[in-house]
Amino acid sequence: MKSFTIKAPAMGTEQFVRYGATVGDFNPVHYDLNFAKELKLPAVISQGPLTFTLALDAAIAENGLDSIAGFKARITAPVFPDTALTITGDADGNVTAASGETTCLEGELSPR
Amino acid sequence: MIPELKGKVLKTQKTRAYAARMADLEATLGTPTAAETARVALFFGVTIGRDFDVLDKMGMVLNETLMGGHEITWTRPFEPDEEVEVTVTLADVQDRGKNRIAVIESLFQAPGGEEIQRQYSTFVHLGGAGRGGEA
Repeated sequence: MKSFTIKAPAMGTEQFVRYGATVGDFNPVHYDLNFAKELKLPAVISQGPLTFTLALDAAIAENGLDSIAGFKARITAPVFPDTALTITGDADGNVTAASGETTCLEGELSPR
Repeated sequence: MIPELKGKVLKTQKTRAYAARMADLEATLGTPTAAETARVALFFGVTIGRDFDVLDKMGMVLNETLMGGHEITWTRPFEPDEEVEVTVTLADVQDRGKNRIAVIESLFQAPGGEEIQRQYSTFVHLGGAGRGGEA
């Protein structure tokens, strides 16, 4: 696997709603600020699978889809709207997504 | 009651890898490789029925539940508009302290039985230990 660092596009609430419509995830925590605040969150949060997909997309951009057979990741922190994640990958297939000093995802690619 | 659900098929559903949804996901991501990524990350098995009834069946309350992890392995990308049969199974469930951890497997197959993709989604139900669900 190639080593890389990519700045993923920032996703806002509009993208959370569009992603939710694509995969059928209509959890209001992704679009309803009042609902999010009831859960003691400062803002709505991204879907975990969307963060996962952004990290996978960065890995595909660097390695090519044909060289990857899978991706496994832990979601380690919420991602808030308009956060441009920094996606980092190493030669062993380890991938992280971070917002500033906060690591939001830790994953591992499976090579084909 | 929940431990008895381990290994149980929670849902089966026939659907398609709709080209329109691939295009939607490509547009949402907006990257040069988004079209390729959309062919492997098109579905989230847990919401395959466009709801969270899979979690409901396990007695997991949506607004008390966090996603802990996700895994996708694939034999090939989905073809646009191809038919897909999805089987959602409770692969594992454990109570750890006050919380319940559930791992849900989603198997995506072509109508002839060819495995296309398999997902494992891990959920943490905060304070959910010891609660019941549908048998």
